[in-house]
Amino acid sequence: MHLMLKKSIHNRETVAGYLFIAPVYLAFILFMLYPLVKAIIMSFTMVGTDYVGWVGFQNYVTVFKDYAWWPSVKNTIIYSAVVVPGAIFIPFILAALIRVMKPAAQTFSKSCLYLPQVSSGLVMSLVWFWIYDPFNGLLNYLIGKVGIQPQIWLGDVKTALLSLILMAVLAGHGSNTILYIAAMGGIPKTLYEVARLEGANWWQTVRNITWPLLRPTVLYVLIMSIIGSFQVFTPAYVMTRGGPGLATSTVVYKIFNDLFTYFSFGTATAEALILALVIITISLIQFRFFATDVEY
Amino acid sequence: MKKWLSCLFVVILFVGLLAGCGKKEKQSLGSKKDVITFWIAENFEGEGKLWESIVEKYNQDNPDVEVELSIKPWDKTPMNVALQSKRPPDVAFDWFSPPTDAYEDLKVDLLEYITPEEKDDFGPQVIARMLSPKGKMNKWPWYLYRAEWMLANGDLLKQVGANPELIQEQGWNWDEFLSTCQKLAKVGVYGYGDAQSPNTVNILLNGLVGPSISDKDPYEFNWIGAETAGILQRYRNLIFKEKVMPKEVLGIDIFGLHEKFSRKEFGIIRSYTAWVPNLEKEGNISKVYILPYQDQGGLEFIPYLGVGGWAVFKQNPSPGEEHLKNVVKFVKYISQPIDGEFIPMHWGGLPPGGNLRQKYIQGIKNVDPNLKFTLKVMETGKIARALPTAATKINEIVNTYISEAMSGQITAQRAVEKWTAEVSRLLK
Repeated sequence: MHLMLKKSIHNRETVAGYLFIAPVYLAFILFMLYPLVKAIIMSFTMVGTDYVGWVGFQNYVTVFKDYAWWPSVKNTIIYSAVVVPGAIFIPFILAALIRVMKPAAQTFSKSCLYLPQVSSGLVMSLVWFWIYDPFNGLLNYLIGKVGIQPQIWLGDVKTALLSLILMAVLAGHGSNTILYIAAMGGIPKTLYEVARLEGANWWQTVRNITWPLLRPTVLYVLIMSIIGSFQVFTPAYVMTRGGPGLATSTVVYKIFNDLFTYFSFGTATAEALILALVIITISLIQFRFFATDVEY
Repeated sequence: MKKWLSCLFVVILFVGLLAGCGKKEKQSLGSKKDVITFWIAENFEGEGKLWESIVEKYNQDNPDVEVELSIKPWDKTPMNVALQSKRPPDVAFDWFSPPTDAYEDLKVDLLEYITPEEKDDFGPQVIARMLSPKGKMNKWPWYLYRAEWMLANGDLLKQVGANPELIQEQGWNWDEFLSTCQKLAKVGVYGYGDAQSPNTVNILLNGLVGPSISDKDPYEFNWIGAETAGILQRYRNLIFKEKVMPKEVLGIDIFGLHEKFSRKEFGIIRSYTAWVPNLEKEGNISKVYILPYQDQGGLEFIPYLGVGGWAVFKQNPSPGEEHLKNVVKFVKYISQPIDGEFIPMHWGGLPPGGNLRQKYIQGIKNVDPNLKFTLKVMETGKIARALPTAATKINEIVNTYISEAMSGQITAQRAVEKWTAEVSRLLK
């Protein structure tokens, strides 16, 4: 009897649990899974705005032959190759510096670093648009002080992409820094004491204790940074519209363009799926090679 | 008990969130009015208010109909979503409408509703401009226009001895334009500025060489060869050889350019006629003149005119023929001057119908030099034909290489070679 009562309570709790998570699952199915499946189908059945039945890989072939696709891929890879290491190492250095500060200074530094995260990418892009203004921008004013000629940061094919990369590298390290600070706080102090007693210097301590023990956090930052950088869109859209020419056209900007300028649903969804596959592959490789001894 | 109540609360909350996803009833609740959904975007500050009063008056004069006005931002996303879900508005400013050869099944063929008198008044070129490749009239003509011109600070031009009204009357060539820019530079301003140089080069190529592609399939690309390269070279030389345009303009947008024009840092810019009143006001300039593009390289610049209109869409499910008649009646009403006000006039647009245009012009009291110039252009210009979606892609390819040429990355000749090769691949 007691057992049956226990089972009945357990069943009720189980049902209640499922009901509570049902809305989230429903939202996931409606707003993530269904659009994903629909997009996959679209990429094999739509040409332009028309549903024309199964077209196989026609849209994918069109994507690979599109003159704007490969420059967009190249720009995205260059952007990620610079921004991702910056997103890993700069917050690490900042976190190491903040950790040794007094508590009040730590709080102040963390707040200053995190505040820009609160503002949207659009606002950041508009502010940097002013910073890069060739006539009155802050950057040309500063480099003018050291005798360098004003540059057309966003209007020159040579500097446009670098300008967007610079913006990403200098801004937006707040959340990663906070993550590193929290992770560093979890490293036992005894390890540092032992290292000090053994005569290890700062660099040896960082290399042999801090860095290896931060591996789970580094892996997380690496994966999230790659996902974020491969999906870069806002700066390209707000500041340069992918130009001049195709100098700052990224994969996501191209997807947007194909969808809203050319109404080419088949091509746009094909591009989106190619991007998704690339990101999934890279993430899986990262997990395979870097997460062997990481436990969460 | 608490758990079940919490569960119920969560379910109600979720259902409430999804409640907005239902279909909107076409008929107003509790009334028999035929609802017409109408989308516009503001071309100038205050246009929305004008439309609100027009719609209010129309609703009062037509008690069986209720027009629902939506003032949308300049963003095609809402229309894209509406078309994808097959629930577009009844009437939309044609800027929102998709490419000519897309969503054919959602567009109303207005040829069924045009009278022979209207057809004669518009003329075959205007009608042709409104047709899809399949011969359906998808848009109703509203105004004839050419909105992008060179705008000049009249005070500065007169200061350097240039006569903008004479230029408007007689036109000018490239050398005369350069000479004016150089004179402006001598008084300490930049002669010329353009924050959208690929667009401008497109306009020059269109006006001097002709449309980018032929009108017959298989399409032939026309922007090739030495003449084309020469036009781009001359424009590129403004920065690198003649030095009348600062390279810095490549890094600013049109609003930054307007600000500098208002501060009298530029004598001539390439912009839009709708901005003339703002530029005069912000810059305290007595007159901003609209100036023609220049003849060059032995070629005469022919202004191609656009025809703006209203896109009319079918509804699903169909509310019936009566609804379509009401929609078309509303479209015809808003396509004419109303109580002396013709909204497109704010950006230099005039009625596309010949008789209607003459009648409207006769009613204009103050014919200033810019209006005289606009009227002349309307009579002498050519109406551009509707181009297929491939032309948009061609423009993107051409603009890519124009940008590279303008920033000094490649020569004009190389730019033309590159875009010719890419476009040939595209058209194969």
